Amino acid sequence: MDLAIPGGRFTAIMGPSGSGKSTLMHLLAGLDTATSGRALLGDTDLTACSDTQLTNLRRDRIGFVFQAFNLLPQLTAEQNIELPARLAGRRVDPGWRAALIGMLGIGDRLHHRPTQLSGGQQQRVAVARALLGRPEVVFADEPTGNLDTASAHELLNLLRGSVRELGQTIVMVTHDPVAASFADDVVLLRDGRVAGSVPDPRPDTVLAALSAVSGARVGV
Amino acid sequence: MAGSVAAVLLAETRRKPGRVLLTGLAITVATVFAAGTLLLGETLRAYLADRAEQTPATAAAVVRPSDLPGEPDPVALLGEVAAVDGVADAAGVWSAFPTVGGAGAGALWALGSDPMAGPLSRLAAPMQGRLPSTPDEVAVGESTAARSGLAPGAAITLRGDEGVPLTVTVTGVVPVSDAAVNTLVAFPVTVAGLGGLLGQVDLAADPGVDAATLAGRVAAALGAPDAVRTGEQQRAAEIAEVSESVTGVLVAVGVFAGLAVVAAAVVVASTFRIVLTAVAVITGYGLLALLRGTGTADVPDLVLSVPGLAGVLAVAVLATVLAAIAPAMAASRIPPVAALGSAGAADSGAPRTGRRLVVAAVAAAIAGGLAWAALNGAESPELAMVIVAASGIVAFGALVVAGPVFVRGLVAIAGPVISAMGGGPGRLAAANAAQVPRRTAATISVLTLGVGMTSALLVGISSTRAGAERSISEQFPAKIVVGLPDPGSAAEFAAVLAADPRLTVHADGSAVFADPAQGVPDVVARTAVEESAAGWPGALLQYAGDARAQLETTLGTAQAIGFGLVGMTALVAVVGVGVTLMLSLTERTRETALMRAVGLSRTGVRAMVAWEAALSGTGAAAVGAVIDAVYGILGVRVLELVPGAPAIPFAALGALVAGVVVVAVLAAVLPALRAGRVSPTRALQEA
Repeated sequence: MDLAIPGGRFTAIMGPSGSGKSTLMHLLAGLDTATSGRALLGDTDLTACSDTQLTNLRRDRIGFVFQAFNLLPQLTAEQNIELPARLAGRRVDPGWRAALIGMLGIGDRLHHRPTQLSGGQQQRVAVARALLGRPEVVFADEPTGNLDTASAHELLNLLRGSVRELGQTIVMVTHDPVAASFADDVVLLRDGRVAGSVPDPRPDTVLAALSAVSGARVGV
Repeated sequence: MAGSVAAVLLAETRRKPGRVLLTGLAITVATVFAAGTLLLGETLRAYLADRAEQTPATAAAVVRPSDLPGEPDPVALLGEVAAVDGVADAAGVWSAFPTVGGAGAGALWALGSDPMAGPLSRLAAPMQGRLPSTPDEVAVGESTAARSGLAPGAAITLRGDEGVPLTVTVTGVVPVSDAAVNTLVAFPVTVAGLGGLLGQVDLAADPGVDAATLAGRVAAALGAPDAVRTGEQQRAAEIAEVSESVTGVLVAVGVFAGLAVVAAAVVVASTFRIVLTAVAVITGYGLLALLRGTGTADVPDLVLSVPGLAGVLAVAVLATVLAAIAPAMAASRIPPVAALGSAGAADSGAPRTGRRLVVAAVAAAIAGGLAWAALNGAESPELAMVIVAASGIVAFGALVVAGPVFVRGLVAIAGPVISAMGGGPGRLAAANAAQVPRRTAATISVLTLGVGMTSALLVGISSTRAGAERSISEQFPAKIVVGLPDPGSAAEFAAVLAADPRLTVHADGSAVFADPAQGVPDVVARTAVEESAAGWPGALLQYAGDARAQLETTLGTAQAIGFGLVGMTALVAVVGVGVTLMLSLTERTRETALMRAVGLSRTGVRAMVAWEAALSGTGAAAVGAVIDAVYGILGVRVLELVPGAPAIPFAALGALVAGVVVVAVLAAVLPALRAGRVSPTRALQEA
């Protein structure tokens, strides 16, 4: 497979189960190493990096949003947001932090623990965590998988907003055509290969393309 | 219902075998600890008792002629008790202080009697030569032989207060407690013939006659119940006579073994692996045998107390079930809705500070009250010690209850230090500890218990040692003490010795104390005193230096066994912390993976785990050392081991605190390595 993901855009990766979405994202995000082939982030060859280099790269250049939110239960929302910066020993830009918190609408939740937040709120805290370090790319793994429809839409709008207004690059893995329709481009995978793409996606066009790729009708 | 629950449990066990294995390991170690403590404790008891007891275990009853009315004829008395129904054998224990001449120096030596054969003989196998077989043969004590150069075959003369000298032949060297005074052993008839006194009659019972019955019959026959004791009573009295501290130590050891069982019950948290406990006892026994193999030359035989070990097993099983009740009840109280919530948060959240503090305060007050009662109200030292132990257990309970609150305070104090020293991982470790106080408190209570028992033991050991050394100094103020019949004779003898430049001498009452002068070897000084004492009427030489050395050896061995107990405690601490950390990290694999994903390096994860362990270790060490040093002192006080203030081994306690932190970090090595291997992709997987 040969795939280039453009910067400053919102790219969705889709495909049926077992198509290699997760593996692809693990490689792109430096979470796992490839047995063959290369993965580049900018000019950096991720496949040539040591574990320490990958760790530093994830810390400094990549942000993550997970399906299960993955906030640390023992830390407050604020501490969770600042965790990567603290691990890196970086200073947090207070203006940028305030802007993010305002944009995500979590200003009154900063001192709560994850268990005291709704799913949507938790995921917005996770997005703030991912964006605080101004990473080159944010990887989102099924970010709406554990959210109700309203919260999901709100979150996807926020992600799209950060691409449009802040120039953030976002790569989102999803199997939800509606979620994918918020992206600028949709890349379709099947059996570990790029099986197509949907520029300027809408739910129906994504669904149609997905059905064609899967060779079966996919319910929403 | 029960069946389906069991099925779920089994499925869970199959899915996460590691968790069950770890819990099993904790129980195993706890049981090994209890069993080992019991073994070492019994061994120490036997060792000390063996040093103090004179009367052989084969003596079912004894008669003490000094307690008989009037002055009975000893030979008639012996015949009378031997004729009592149920007495299989009667052996008189005679002693005399004849003047010994012909070899070595001519002075008063001690001469003891022994039947040389049969159940009532007190002699162990000779170290050299053979035991005497006729009345004109004697055996010589081990230290005596070393000092005087007497060997089998030598001829010496013994002269009592009156009568003609008796020439006897030395046939062997035997181990007797003769460090202080030169000692020979001969047949009773020999000793009696030299004007010896009958100090005691040992009686062996016919088969089927128990000790109490025998003692009763003999008392009735003699018409003097005060003069007859059972063998057991006599041995206990001998231990008490030798030293009060030995009795104290024996009580303390018993209580410590009891505490060990309680400690094991605490460590045993929540599982049902009964089979493992059996394995544990076997392992423990093997381990101790190993320990003994590598120990000092003088380590006594291990004493295996079967009822004790069975007790440990029973308590371990019972404690396991009881300990499982609390988690089970807690689990049943979780509302189904909460179970669907975010995983991993069960241990987090604010502890119910108020309620915990109230319960802890009540427990602490009870502990204080018990301690006060032990110091002021208890009738016997034994009872007081048991009360002190109970107070300690309640105090530990208070600590466990207050644990989560205490952890907050600990992190508030130690957190900034660790953050400054450990950077990011240090800060995370402090946050982990503070935000999940119950998890941290669990680790700390396991360690505190270990540290506490160790520090109580250290205080006990050092106080006993200090007390024993003080009493040795009082008993033996000089290397050589010469006893003389009267103060005038002592003053004369002191004048003679003082003329010798090799000695420093002073007389006090009817005793003369001699030490080697500066730069003079002990042997030279000893020979000088022996030469002067030869022929001096009624001079009895006491080799105080040798006696002191021997006492110190005994003390050292007892201390080594004590340190064996300390070692067991350290083992429990290592495994306890290791297992708790390992379980805790298994629970939060996803958290670890997340930290890896957002940029914590492998080294960082490991450092975080190590810092968490160090934090727990510091807390446990500080609290355990302080609280239980207090209990150590209390124990020493109530047992009246030491006359003055108890000795607090500050250096040893300091080393203990530092050692525990090191041990905690060492225990974190395996969990840390494991945590470092967690792949960041685990954060993306569903729980």
